[in-house]
Amino acid sequence: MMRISNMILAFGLVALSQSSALADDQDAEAAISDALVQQAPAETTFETVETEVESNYPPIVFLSEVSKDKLAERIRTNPIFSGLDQDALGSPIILRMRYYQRGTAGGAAAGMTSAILSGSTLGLIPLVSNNDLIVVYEFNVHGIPVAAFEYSENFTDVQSLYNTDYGLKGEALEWAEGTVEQFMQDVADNPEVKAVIDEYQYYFGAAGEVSE
Amino acid sequence: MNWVLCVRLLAVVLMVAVCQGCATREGLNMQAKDAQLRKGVDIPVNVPLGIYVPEVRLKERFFIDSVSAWMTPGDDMRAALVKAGNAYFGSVEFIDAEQPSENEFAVFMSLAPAWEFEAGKIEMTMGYRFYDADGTLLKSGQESNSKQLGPYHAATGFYNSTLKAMQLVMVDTINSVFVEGREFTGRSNAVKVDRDLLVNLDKPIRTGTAFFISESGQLLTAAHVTNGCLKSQLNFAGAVHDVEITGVSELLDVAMLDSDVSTNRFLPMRRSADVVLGERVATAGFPLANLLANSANLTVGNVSSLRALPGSMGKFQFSAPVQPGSSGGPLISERGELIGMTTGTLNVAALAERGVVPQNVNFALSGEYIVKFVERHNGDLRWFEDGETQPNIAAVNEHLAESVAQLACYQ
Repeated sequence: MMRISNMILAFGLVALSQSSALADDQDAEAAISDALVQQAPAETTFETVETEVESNYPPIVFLSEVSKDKLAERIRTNPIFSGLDQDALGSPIILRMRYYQRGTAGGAAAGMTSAILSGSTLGLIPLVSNNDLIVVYEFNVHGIPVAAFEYSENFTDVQSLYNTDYGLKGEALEWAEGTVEQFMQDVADNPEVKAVIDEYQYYFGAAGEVSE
Repeated sequence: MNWVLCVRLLAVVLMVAVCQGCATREGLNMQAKDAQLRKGVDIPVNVPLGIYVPEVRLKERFFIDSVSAWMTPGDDMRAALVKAGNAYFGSVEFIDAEQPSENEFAVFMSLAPAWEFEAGKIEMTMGYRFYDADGTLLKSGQESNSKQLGPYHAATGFYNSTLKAMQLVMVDTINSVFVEGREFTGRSNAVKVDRDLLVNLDKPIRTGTAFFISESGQLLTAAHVTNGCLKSQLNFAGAVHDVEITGVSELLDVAMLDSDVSTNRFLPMRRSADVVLGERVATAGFPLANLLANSANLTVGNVSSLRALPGSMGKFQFSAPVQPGSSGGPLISERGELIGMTTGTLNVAALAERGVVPQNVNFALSGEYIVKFVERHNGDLRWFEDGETQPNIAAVNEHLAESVAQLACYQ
């Protein structure tokens, strides 16, 4: 059942205004591409069941580039995100955690020297790089960023020239996971997020028409 | 001896490969032959410059296969614009149409950057229009260049290509406009500037469909059609009308518009909030604007589910075929009652690549939430009265087709 659901999350809803903006679908594709490989041919239908909504908080999809389940569990403890549901494929609200690295002035110069050294020794000397790691939590409604919470930390990384494992690991991963605590504090006071929750409650209240 | 030579050669090749990947930010090459200022012109010219770049360009995010990386070129582009602007004009003020500031400028540029990617390179084209503070067009044109898109720090390529393009634009502009004795004493700002001068009206960033809900010219459409529009125009009955966005719900994906159109071709809302599973519906819109003739397309189907995807809000599923450009189109019953608005569909092409071919799985915002939305924004909704029933289905369809208009969004 989950396979087709994942596909819908990845490629599913297309807004029908005429433009080339499929970016959000592609984001989702990147997040769950592994799951697509396991598609089961028999599982080609999904059902929507009409039920009465009991929560005053909206269903929200959570996408993360790292530690998705672990972060989701923590985030769900905030009432705003009590409706966090990976199967809520049609929800217009998506909370996405992503990260990227931003070079520093000193890091670029040192990195270049290190790359030349590493290259000229055929990788005997490892590559040393220094970058700011940026973690961003984005609260989007129908692909429109409503609020973004950004956290950064500087890390020096040492790796082999032949390393092909580019994901976060070690100290950097631990720090990235830890940003969820600060995010929880910051999101609680955010007026834009509160406005979305208020609007949801205006339209859907406790017994609104939300497909489950 | 030979193997030592081989290792050294290999090392050189590796070094070159590594350096190729580490594309770095370039500086302004004032000696470049194609960027020479007229004799006697000193830079910076110390005339405060305003720069407008469409939001869609500053915020876009896309994937480039050749470097297997997501790109968000906005920040790099902005940094390059600041560097070039400061070097040639002395100061730069970005014109933010959404949150305009009162910081002044004496001249301003509306820019239209565009990229193509080929063989690891960025091919950039920068269209521009250059105005004085009074809005007089002084110069327009476009500049192009090609820069490396390295596998590491690929975004640097956007910086370098923007910087080079802007250098050419500014040199060209200063050489043409900054003649001896000419002064730029007028001042404008993002609040005062005429938005029509900023937007590129040659080509909309997207199109969709809107429909009238009353004789006063009020319309509804999908919010994703109007998002970020600096200017929205309605193409209705052969004429173009400016419209003003008077209400938006991103959550429901619906927007309300006011126009100067007076019409008796509007769609009254069904009094009952319910849609019936299996009931026949029709929708009209302006899909595939670049392909099909510019007239309303009408399709029919039925309500195929009273719910949509799990987690969706206020939506139901219908089967009348829709295409890109249909967003914001009305969904009506056989009697001509408004019962919903087209908002989206499943991505058939992407799903088909993986062995699933959904057919006409389309979604509409339910009439119940249209009513709540219009009431919340003090809109002007009409209710369907039994006496209004059209004599036949042909009349219903004709009325539907005449109640919709193509909506174009410009930045």
